[in-house]
Amino acid sequence: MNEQPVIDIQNLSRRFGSKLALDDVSLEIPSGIVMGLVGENGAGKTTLIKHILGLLNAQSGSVRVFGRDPVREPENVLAKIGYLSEEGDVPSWMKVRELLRYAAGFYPTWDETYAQHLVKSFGLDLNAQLSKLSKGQRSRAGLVTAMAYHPPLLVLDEPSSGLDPIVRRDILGAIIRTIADEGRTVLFSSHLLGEVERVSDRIAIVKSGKILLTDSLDNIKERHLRMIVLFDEPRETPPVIEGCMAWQGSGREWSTVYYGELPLLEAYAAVLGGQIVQRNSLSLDDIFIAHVGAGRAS
Amino acid sequence: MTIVIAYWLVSVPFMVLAKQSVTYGFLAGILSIGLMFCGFYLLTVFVHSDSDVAIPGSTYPTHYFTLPVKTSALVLWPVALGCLCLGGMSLLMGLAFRASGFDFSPVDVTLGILAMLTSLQAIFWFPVGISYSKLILSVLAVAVVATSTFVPEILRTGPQVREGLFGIIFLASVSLTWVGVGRARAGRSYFNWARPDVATRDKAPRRALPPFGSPDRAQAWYEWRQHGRILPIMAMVMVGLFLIPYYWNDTLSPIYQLSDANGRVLSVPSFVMVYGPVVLVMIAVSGWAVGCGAKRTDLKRGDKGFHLFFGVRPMRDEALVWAKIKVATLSTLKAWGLVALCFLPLLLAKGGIYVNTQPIDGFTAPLYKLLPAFVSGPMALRAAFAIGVLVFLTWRSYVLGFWAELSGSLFWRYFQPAWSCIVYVVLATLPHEAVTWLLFDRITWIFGGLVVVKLAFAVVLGVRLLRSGLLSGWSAANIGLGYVAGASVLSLAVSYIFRDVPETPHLFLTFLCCFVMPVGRILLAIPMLARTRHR
Repeated sequence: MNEQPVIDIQNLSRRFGSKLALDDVSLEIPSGIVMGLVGENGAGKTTLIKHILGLLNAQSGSVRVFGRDPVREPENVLAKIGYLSEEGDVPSWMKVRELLRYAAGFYPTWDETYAQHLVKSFGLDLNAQLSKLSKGQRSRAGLVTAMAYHPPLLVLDEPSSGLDPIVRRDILGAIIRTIADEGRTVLFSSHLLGEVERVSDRIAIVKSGKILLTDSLDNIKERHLRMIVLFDEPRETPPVIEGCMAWQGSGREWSTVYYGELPLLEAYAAVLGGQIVQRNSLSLDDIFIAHVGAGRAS
Repeated sequence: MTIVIAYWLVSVPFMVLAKQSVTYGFLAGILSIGLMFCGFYLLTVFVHSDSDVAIPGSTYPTHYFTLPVKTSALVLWPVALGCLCLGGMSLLMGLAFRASGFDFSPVDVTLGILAMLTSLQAIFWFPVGISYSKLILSVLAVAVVATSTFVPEILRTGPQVREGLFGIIFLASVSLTWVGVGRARAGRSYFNWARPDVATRDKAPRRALPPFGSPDRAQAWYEWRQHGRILPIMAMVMVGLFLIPYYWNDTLSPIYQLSDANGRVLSVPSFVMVYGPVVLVMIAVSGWAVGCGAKRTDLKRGDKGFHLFFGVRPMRDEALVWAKIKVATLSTLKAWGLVALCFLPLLLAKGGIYVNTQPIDGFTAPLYKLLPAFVSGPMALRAAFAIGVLVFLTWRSYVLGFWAELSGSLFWRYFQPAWSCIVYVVLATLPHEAVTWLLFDRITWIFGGLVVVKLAFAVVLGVRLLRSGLLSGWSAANIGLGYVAGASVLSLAVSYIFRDVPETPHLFLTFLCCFVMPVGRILLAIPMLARTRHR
C-alpha cells in the first residue's frame, strides 16, 4: 500500500533537561485505523501527542502529519485534527453554546446538526456555564468540539480520566468505531487497557520514552502466550530465554509470558531440559504488565 | 512580601546615594510610588483569583471548598495573609513618605489599605448574583474608602473618626466575606431575588447567535469577551462617579494655560479642574490593571508551554497575537470614545473668565461658548497630543502583560513588572522642580539610557530568536524598520507640535522612543509565541 501515513514519526527524540522523554521514536499510523497508545504515567505518551499537534518542536528526528510539519504549518495540520486533552482545560466562563460557537469558527467543515446530536447524546445543557459542570461534563463538551467537524484525525489523550463508564463504553467506543469505519483515523492514548483493547486496531506500547512494541492487536495477542514450562531438574533462578518475560515459579515448574514464535521457544526449552506443559492466551493487560513490569523489576 | 522586600533592596541604594542631596526627601517619597504597583499586584493576588470578574457568583477558588476545614479558616487565612502583606507594604510606604517630609500617620494609611483590601475581597467573594456587579461595586468601594480618608477635614474632626470609619469598613467587609464564602461553599451562588431559578433560566429559549465568519473573528470574540469589554465598563463607571460631584460644585478655577492676549483666563468648574486629570490618568492605568496579562495560574504552573486550549487552534501564531492587539485597540478606543461622550455634557457647564485671579462678573457662560476664544490652534494640537498620549498609554498598558504571557518565560513574567515600576518611578520623578534642577542637564542622558537599555534587551532577545530559527532575518529587519519609522514619525510630529518650546522637543524625542519600544516588542511577541507554542 503506497498511501501516505496520516502520522509519520521518524527517529524522534526529546529531552527535558536531563530527562529523556522520547528516545529515538519511530511510528507510522496509516489512515482508517484506531491506534491505541498505552504506557505508564510519564512514559511519554502526552509528549508524543504534543509533537503530533505541533506543541513541541522535534529536537531531533521528524514529525509529519498529513505530510506536513505541524510546527511550521499549524493552521493546516490542526484544521484536520480533533483533539481532546486529559486536562479538559476549557475556559470556565464560557457557556456550552458559546464554546461550540467559538470552536465552529475555526473549522469550515463544522457540522451543526452533528454537534447538536452529540450534545443531546452526551446530555449537555447548552446554556450551562462550563465552570458549573463536572469534570466529566466538561470533557464531553470538549469531545463535541473535537468531533463536530468530522476531523480526519481524532487525537484523544487519556479521555477516560474525565468520562464516566457509560460514556466511555457506549458512546465513546461507538463514536471511535464509527470514525474508523468512515476511513478516518483515531489516536487513542490511555492506561485503561480494557478500553484500548476494545476499540483499537493497532497498539503501541510506550515505556520510558521508547516504543517497546507496535503491531496490530490481533498479532500482539496471537504472539503473546503464557507458558508453563516443566524442567527436568529443579531451578533456583529462571532461565534466560529470548522473548520470555515475567518469569514466576520455583523448583521444576516455571511460568512465563512469551513473545515470539512458539517453535523457537520449544527448541530453547528442550535445550535447557524443559517442556511446555500448558499455554494460554493473554489479555492486553497481562501483555502490558509483562512488558512494562519486566523492565521495572530489572 | 518578596516583591516588597526586593523593591526595597533596589530602592535603598538610591536613597543612600541621594541622602546628602536636597532631593533626598522627595526621592524617598517618589521611590515609594513603585510600592503602589506592588500594592495593585498584591490586591489582585488576594482578591480576584483567576476567575472571570464579570461573573455573578463568587470568585473564591472553588477547589478550596473541599478542604476539611471550617469556612472561617477558608476566609480568615487569606484575609490575614493579605492584611499582613499589604499592611506590611503600606507601613513601609508610609515610613518612606514620612522620611520625605510628609506629615501623616503610616497607621492611617495602613488601615485605609486594609479597608480597601477587605472590602474588595467581600465584593469579589460574595455571590452577589448580578453580572458585572463586582466591577461596579469595586469602583464604588474604592471611592468610599478614598472619601473616608478626607472625612476629618470635611467634618473638622480628629483622625480618630477616619480610623473608626476604616475599622467599621474592615469589620463589615470581613463579616460579609465570611457570609459570602459560606453561601458559595454551600452552592448558593445566587440570590433568588437577583436572578430567576437557574433551572428555569437555563431552559428558557435562547436566540442562536450567528456563526463566526472566520477563525480571526472567533478568536477576537474570545479576547473581547475575556478581556476587552472590561475596560470600557470601568471607564464608564469611573467617569460616571466623577460626574456626580458636579451637582454640588459651585466654584470656578482658572486654567492659566488658557489665556488670551488681554490677560484674561478661562475658568472651569473646580471639580473638573482638580479631578478631571486624575480620572483620565486612572483610565490609562486601568488598562494596565485589566489588560491581557498573564494569569497567576499560568505563572505558577510548571508547564511553561502555551495554553493547550489555544495551542491547538488551527491558527498561525501571528493571528493569535493580532487578535489580542486588535481587541486591546478596540477596547482602548471604545473606552476613550465613551469617556469623550461622557465629557461632552461638561461643555454645557458654566465657565467664567478671570483677570488677575479675580472673576469678572457677568461673563459666566457655557463652556462651549467660552472655549473658542481661549483655545488657539497650537493649544488644540497640544491638547490633542496629550489625549493621544493617554490613549496610547492605555493601549500600551493593555498589551504590556500579554507580551510577558506569550513569552512563556518566567524571567520576563517577573522582570517585566519590576522594570515597568523603575521606568514609571524615573518618569514620575522628572517633572519635580528639585529633580529637574538637579538632573536637567543630564535629562537627555537619562532618557537616552532608558532607550539604550531597552534596545539592548531587544537586541539580546532578537539574537536569541534569530539563533533559534523562530525569527527570520527578514522579519527582524522589518521589525527594526518599523521601529525606526514609528519613532521618526512620532519624533517629527512632536518636534512640530512643540516647535516654539525650545527645551521640549529633545526631551520628547527620547520619551517617545520609550513609547515606540512596546510596538517593537509586540512585533517580537509573534516569534516569542512561536517559541512558547512549539517548545
